[in-house]
Parts: sequence; structure tokens; C-alpha cells
Amino acid sequence: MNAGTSPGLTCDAVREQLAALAHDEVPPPLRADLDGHLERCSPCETEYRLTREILRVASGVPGAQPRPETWLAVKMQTTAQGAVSPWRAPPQAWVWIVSLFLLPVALVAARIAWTLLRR
Amino acid sequence: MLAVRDRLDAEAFEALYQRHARGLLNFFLRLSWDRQGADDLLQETFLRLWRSSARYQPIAKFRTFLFQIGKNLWLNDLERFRRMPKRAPVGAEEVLEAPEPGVPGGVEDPMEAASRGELSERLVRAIARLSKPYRLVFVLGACQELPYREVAAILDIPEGTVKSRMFKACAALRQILGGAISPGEAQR
Repeated sequence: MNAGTSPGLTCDAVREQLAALAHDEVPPPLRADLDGHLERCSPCETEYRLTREILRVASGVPGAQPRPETWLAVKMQTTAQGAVSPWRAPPQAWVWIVSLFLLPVALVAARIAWTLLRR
Repeated sequence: MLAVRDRLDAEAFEALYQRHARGLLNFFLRLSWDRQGADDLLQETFLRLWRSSARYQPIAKFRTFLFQIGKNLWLNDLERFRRMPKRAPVGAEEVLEAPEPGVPGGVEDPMEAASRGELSERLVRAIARLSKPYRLVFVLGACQELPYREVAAILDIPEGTVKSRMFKACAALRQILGGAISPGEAQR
């Protein structure tokens, strides 16, 4: 069946687009073709209204609020036992200064250890 | 998001939780209609987020990143959601799964369904019968009302596949709901 303005737009092709049409997810040229088809084709028009009704109900399905204890559990686990947080700010300046001082010390220590081991 | 990470701030992390927890909880709830399971997955998603934020690419929307973590956890957590008997496809429809306990199977009698409660409740039960790929698309696109582009990014599938699965999911839901959905109630 082809009730549309586009020669290739069959009822099957139109119906595959109905959910996207209801969600406003089809490009304007196709939308015009689909609208034209729906004006002429009563069965597809009915399909479209059924699809819209399902989507309307789906978007209104009642939800729930998170329980306060869920956040408390997340908070407890992310702060417990010194968990390393990737959300932590970069180390402060003194950390870098101490690291720069310790690096040569570590290199010297490694060199000494290597020399001792070779003997 | 980057500013949040740079600032370090547990408060910022809490703000992210406050902004997204409800959407994520309802995503899990609509996928499986299991409150305890949804609470657990919500908690686990934010713990994963805490641990894996280094993988976050600012090119992706934060909500997309968060829902990707949630979706992966849900898929990996099949044992929890498969307390019910092993599912098998119904008929030739790969879109449908066997009914879960408490979820009526086959096409409902409209009169009986009407007496049992709200249309949305029947739809929720019907959604639970969709197989996972279709359920994910329907819940994200139709219940959470995310744009198809974002649904595609979360599920890592092409946008055309989202459209196709949404169409098939709607058709399957109509089949399950039978005459409970009336075209007269929706106007163009």
C-alpha cells in the first residue's frame, strides 16, 4: 500500500517511523512525507495515534525518589578507608616541592644500593 | 565537570548525585521494577563513577557517561534480575521475553486489565516483557525521554537502530496490551 506523496513510502515504511515521528526525531523532508501519508491513510493514522498513546503513557509512568540512605552509603564508601578519590584536587604546591627534593635522594640511594649489590 | 574535578570537592560529587540520582533510579526501576535492585544499582553506579571518573571524556555528555555505567552494571547484574525462571523468546518475536512472575502473559483482556489498575501500571508490566535491547531503548527513549542521539550513545548503537528498536518495542507493547490502548485517547 502506498498512500503517500513519495513513491517509495509504503505503509510499512511509514509505520517504522511512527515512534520517531511522535518523538519529533525525523528530519523535516521525511516529516512532510509522513504527514502527507497520514492525512491520506486512515489505518496508518490510527497506528500513529496508538503509538503516540503508548509513548504518552510511557512518559508518565510514575517514578520514585532515591532513598536518603543510598546517598549515605555512597558517601560512607567513598570516604571510608582513605579511598583515593579521582575527584580530588591536584596536589598542593608543597607536595611537588617535597617530591622534587626526594627524587635526587632516591636516585642517590638507588645508585648506592646498586654499587653495593655489584660487590 | 572538569571544573568539578579540578576543584575537588566532595560537595560537587554530591551535587552530581543530587542532580542525576532520581533519573538513574527511575531508569533502573523501569527496566526491572525492583526497588531494592534499583537502589543497589544506583549506589553501585555512583561508586563506579567515583572510581572511574578519570575515564570520562569531556566530549561526551556527563549524563551519557553516567547512564553508560548504569546500563553496563544492569547488564552485568543479570543474576539479581534473573531470580525468576529462565526466559525464552515468545513465538517468533525476538522483542518479547517470557513473562516474569506476577506479570501476566499473552494479550490481556481489556476489561480485566481495566479493573486491575492504571494504564501506566499495565505498561510497566508490559515493558518488563521486552527483551533487554528493546527494553533499554524503550525505557531510555520513551520513559526517560532522552533524545535518540543520546540513547544511541549510551547503548553504543547507531541512531537508526534506536529508531528501529523503538518501533518494534512499541509494536510489541501494543500486542501485549491489546485493546487497553485506545487510539481515540491520543490526538495528532
